Amino acid sequence: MQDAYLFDAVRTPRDCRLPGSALNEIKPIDLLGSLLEAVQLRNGLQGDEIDDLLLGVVQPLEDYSVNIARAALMKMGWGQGVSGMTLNRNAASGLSALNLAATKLGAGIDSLVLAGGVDSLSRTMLRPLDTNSISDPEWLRLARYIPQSLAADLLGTHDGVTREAADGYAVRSWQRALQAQQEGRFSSSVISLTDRNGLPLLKEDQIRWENLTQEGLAHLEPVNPPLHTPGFHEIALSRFPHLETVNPIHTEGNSAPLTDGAALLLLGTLEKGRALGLRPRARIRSMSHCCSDPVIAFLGATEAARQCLKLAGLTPKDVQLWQCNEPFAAIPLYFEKAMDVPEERLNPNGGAIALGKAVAASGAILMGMLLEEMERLGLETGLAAVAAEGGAGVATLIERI
Amino acid sequence: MIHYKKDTENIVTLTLDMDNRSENVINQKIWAAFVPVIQRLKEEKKQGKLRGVILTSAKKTFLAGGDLEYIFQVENAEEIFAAAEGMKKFLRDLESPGVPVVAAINGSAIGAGFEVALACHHRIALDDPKIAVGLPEVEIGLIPAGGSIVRLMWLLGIEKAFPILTGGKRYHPNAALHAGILDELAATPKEMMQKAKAWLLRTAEGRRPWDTAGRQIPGGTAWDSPVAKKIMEYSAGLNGKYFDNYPAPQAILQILSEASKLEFDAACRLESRYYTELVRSRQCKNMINAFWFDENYIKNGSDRPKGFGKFRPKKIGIIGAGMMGSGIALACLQNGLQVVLKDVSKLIADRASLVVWKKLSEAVSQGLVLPEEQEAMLKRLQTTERSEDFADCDLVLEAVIENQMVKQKVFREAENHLDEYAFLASNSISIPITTLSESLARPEQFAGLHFFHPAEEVPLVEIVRGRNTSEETVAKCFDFVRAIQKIPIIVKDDWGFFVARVQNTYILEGIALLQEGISPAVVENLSRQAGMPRSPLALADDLGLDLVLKYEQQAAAHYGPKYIQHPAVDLVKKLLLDLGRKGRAQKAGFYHYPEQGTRMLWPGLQELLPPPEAFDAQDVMDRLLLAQVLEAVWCMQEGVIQSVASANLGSIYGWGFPAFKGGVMQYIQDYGVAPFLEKCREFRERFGPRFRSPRLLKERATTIG
Repeated sequence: MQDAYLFDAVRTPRDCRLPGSALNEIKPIDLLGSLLEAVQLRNGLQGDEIDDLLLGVVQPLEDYSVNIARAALMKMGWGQGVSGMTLNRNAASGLSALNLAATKLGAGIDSLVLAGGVDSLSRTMLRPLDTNSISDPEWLRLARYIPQSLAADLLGTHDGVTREAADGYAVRSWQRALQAQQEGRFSSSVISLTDRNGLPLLKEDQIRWENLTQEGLAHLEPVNPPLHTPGFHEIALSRFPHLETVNPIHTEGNSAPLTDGAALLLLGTLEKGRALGLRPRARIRSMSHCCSDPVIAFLGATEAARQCLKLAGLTPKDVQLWQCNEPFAAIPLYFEKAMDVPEERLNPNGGAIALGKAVAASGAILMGMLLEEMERLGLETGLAAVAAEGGAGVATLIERI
Repeated sequence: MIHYKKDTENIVTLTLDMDNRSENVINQKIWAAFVPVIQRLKEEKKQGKLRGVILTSAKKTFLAGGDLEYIFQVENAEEIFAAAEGMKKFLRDLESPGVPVVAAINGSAIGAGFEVALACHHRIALDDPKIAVGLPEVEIGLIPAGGSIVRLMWLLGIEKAFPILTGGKRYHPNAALHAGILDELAATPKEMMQKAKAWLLRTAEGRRPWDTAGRQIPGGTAWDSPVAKKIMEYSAGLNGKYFDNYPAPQAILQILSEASKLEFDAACRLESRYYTELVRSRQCKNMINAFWFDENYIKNGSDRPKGFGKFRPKKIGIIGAGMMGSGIALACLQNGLQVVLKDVSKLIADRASLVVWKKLSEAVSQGLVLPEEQEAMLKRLQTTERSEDFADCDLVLEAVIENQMVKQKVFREAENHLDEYAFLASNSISIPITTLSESLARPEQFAGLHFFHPAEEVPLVEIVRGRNTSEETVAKCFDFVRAIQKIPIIVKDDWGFFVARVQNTYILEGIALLQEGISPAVVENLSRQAGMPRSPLALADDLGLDLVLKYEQQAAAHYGPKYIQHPAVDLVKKLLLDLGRKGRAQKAGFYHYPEQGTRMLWPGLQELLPPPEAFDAQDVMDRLLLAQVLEAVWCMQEGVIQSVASANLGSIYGWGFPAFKGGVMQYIQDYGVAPFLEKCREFRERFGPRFRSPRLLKERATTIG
């Protein structure tokens, strides 16, 4: 097996204001195009050195329905030999794209690959902002489907996460994101977006709040008050009958809002990098994916992280920095507790609660944020893990060169 | 069979009149009879000699439903599918040649009968509350076979069709008009025919929306996000209520969702496929067994003592004008009886009549009762404080507080004013009927008539045969209960009779589980998943722990030295006697009752219980149901209940034993007698002697083989 090395990581700024997001004006293909262009320029590539583009896309509809990975490459004119594909593992799509790309490198199929994800939710999903409108009642019944926010409440109830702790986490995510941006920690990876005339559209992440206090969050109504939608609570309890009720933990404040966004990672073999004069920044040490209980839904990050460590022969203590996605505050809180991660080592620069979640790009964004912070602090080993709908989990462990 | 009559304006009236039957029913014969008729109509249409068709009935019913006896026994998928497709073809032939067809609904049209009406282009019904229309198939675990799910979806949209189809309600014409399943009402048969003709004369072509280019399903299809979202909500509602227990409403939603994306004929075939699956399901067979065979067994009077002429009650006296008394009064009034309602003062009795008035007014506003009927019913209600007014009653029934002295006093007062044909009945639940009878002059003309809350709604009455009750009195009780259209079950005068006694074992089993380290939330949640409408601990609180304990103590007294104490008794005593937690009435029991919000399990319970153990969910659910089933078998063996049918219906209507299991005795058939006995043996070893099988069951196992 050849090792896979990360050469570059770029992402678009995020803007979760809806309506009013600056990203609403950009087609998803152009969101992706800006990043492809940046990768090309930053790494001095022609384009045709790339073997494949693996792209997470969670709703391959409308603007995406043409296989947007290949479509973007065609638009860039990178040569007809560069192929592209999209894949979906919900929020874990971006990290799955990375892991699959690394696997292709390892198998000797490819030598230089782009992996990432794109989501232009403001353009495709404004109709049902709830990510799911599944009209197959038989599946809903057999899968004991409950909305994600209720699954997150269920996880919190199951694991003793309180509303206060969840709100506290949101404040922490916000404070960290704010500080990171003020210190310019994102500036090397976030690519400014311009319109077709070169006029600036969005330079940096739009942090969700200007001011935030725990008290301010405490007033928000829960997303799932009891009896919100008759049936879902009972379904949750039918899977976890030892609970008397599902506590309403999450509010819009301690959950991540949706945003548009894209992220790309450039990875390849050491040999190919050397030939192109690319500096390897990290080596992928191990990768994993798993599926856990679909009703409680968000145990996957923890499961996948455990497997990933096992494959590398490491323990949690060996990992110096962690990234875990935070669609709802209970997920990183559970992760922190289950993996025994010191608070300051998890999501040190904030996360989607403060910045917004671009679902299909999430994993690639997390990996980029992990890499930039490890470099800043001079750390050796880091792990990114994503919990996704239906119990899925994906993790990647990297070592800096 | 089908009378054909054409008038001068080329309008044909087809009158359904099946030979040798009191009503028209859907079967092979009627389809066969329609084939030449439809052929003739097509030809006349071609020749321009047909303006339209009116479909009506010569019987009191328009058209009744399908043949449940056939559905109960048929197993072959090809045969079921072919039958459903056959009916669909007939209805398609009726609606598609372009000749406008009006259903002139002059009597009830239920199930398959209403499917025929839905396949007509226009529906006019007589505005008579005695007429009922609707699609109640879901009540027996089925769905319509003739395409009505797809037709209703096209006529009303998914959002309106869903509650009609899954509710299984029978609608009176006025309500049906509002629901959108009828188009017009008519005051008289003549007006109905005039309106039908008028509609035909202004309608050039009979074409359904689904056969018309460009027409769309109102409200949209499952492709549309708002509809998809609704479907998810409906699905959650069904899953949270029924779990995996009732496939018919699930199938309805599934068909609505899928069919909205399909063309009409494919959608109908899809409906037939789900229909076939449901006909073959255990749930459907169990529900037909209960609601058709068992109900017919009871209605045919199989349990009624033989040799006594039919008793036709006219005037009923009711003592006690509380909720129970007014509920019974309402049930009597709605079935044409006169009622004398007595309480200690006329003022109190009048308050009950106000309650009756209010409930009737609601029924009027829903179109279930006509205003003039309400007026007539209230005229038949007399309120009083004097026992003399019972003079010409056929039956006097008490529903006063549960106190022996009070009950005996009111009976003595009433008895003095009754003639020798009249009899007395008590709604007592815990005072033996035999005891109450002892102070009466004619103890043989006295029985228990145990109604359930709310009396006007619950379709069950326990007839309690005391030691002195004569067979004639039992027969009269039976006829009275039938006269108010309820299901009578005859029970022995033992503790809790049948319903409360068996229900108590369910409560006790729930409590016993706690003592084995199963957490209270698990017991409550899994009981609902098993199909019980109320969870055991909540039910214990509602009844009061004192009553729960009392029943068990009465059982102990009954069995004497043979009694083995139920393991739940210790915890009940601890809560009740040591901690004074009596239940809901005292706002403290297994639950605690905050000033605001819903009750929550009492946290202190944990300290009384062993630490939580790992559990097998299926075991817990099996135990909660098996405990009831076994107690019902003991009741059969001890003569507490007379028949399997009355045990089944008593369990479903009395305390909500899962209908999809067909009731408490059908549960054994559903499980299989031998596997059931095996399960009992296993549970007896694991959980104690209360799971031993009664002799009766072992005998049945050997006779069945």
